[in-house]
Amino acid sequence: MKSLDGAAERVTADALDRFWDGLTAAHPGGPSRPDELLEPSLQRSVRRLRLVDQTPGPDPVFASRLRTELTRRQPALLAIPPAFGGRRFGSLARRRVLVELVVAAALLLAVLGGGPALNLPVSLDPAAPTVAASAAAPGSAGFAAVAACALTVTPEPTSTASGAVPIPTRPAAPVTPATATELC
Amino acid sequence: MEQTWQGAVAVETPLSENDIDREIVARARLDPRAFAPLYDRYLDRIYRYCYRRLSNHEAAEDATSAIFARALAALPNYRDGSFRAWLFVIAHNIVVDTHRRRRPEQPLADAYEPVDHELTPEEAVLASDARQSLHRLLGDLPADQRRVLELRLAGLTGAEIARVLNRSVAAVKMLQLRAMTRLRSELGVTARSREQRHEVA
Repeated sequence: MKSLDGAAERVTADALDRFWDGLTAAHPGGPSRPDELLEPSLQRSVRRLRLVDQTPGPDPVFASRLRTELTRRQPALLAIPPAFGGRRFGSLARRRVLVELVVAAALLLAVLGGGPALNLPVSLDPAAPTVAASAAAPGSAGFAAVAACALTVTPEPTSTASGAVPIPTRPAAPVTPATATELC
Repeated sequence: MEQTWQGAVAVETPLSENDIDREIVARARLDPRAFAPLYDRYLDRIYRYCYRRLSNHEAAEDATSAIFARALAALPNYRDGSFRAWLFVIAHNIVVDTHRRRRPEQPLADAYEPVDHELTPEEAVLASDARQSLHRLLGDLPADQRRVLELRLAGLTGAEIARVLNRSVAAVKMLQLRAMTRLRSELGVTARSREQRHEVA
């Protein structure tokens, strides 16, 4: 008798599981075919339990904020959300990017000796910052002074092992403001 | 839609939910921005599951945040099988940890807050009553039966629940049956006796 009850219980348990899986697959409120092996009262109980479940969903503000935080966890270039593609991003951050690009370009030209090409004013006083250098960006005055000083420095020729005297050239290695002051 | 061939005829079969999840996971592994669709698909279920377990709006939000953060970080570890079950394993573990961290004197349902965003006052009261009823109904069950029903209400299948709870499928089915048999009368459903059913037939 016990094994029959156990078997009957297993059949009912299987039927209930099938029925509930069917409801799950059909998605919210979707009807499922009644299972002939499942008591109607159990079917009604499952449906009623789902109806009684009035658990609230997440707050939309929380949901949006969490979504943004999660999708922001990546390289900075990829993380610009669409909401910032407009004026708010362009007016401030874009200006900073432009300034940094100008500074980088000025540094590059100074290192490559592009001062004359830009007609940068040359000062005999290497400590005096030039107008162009100070306008480019703060902190770059020293590099303009280096470029200016390099025009006036003539390193003493030294002989090589073969005895030939090399043609004096501008120093190839980048010169820091401190060493430029020494040279000048 | 997935296209297969039956002889010379192309047959389109709709992709299952799990197939869709796996495609999104594959993309999300290459570009984390692609995680957003998974988040959108599961946020509601995860949040409600946490709220049912924790009965507290703030705790549910914290748990939900932790669950998705951990899921995103652990995406490379997802191998195969139901993504939904994999996600709810994370959810289950985080909720259990949350319970453990709670102070013993703090009751489980200390603030059954009605978080009703777009309901009229009357609807809010009814919804609150319904929530309290569900909470009472589930609270009367033994813990293992309650866990099964909570995951059922989150939309998991029996097999997925077995994976989350690390139980056999047969055990989950029995827990489910016993829980619903117990709740049947409390839900106001009358069970007809076998003789009565035969008479009707």
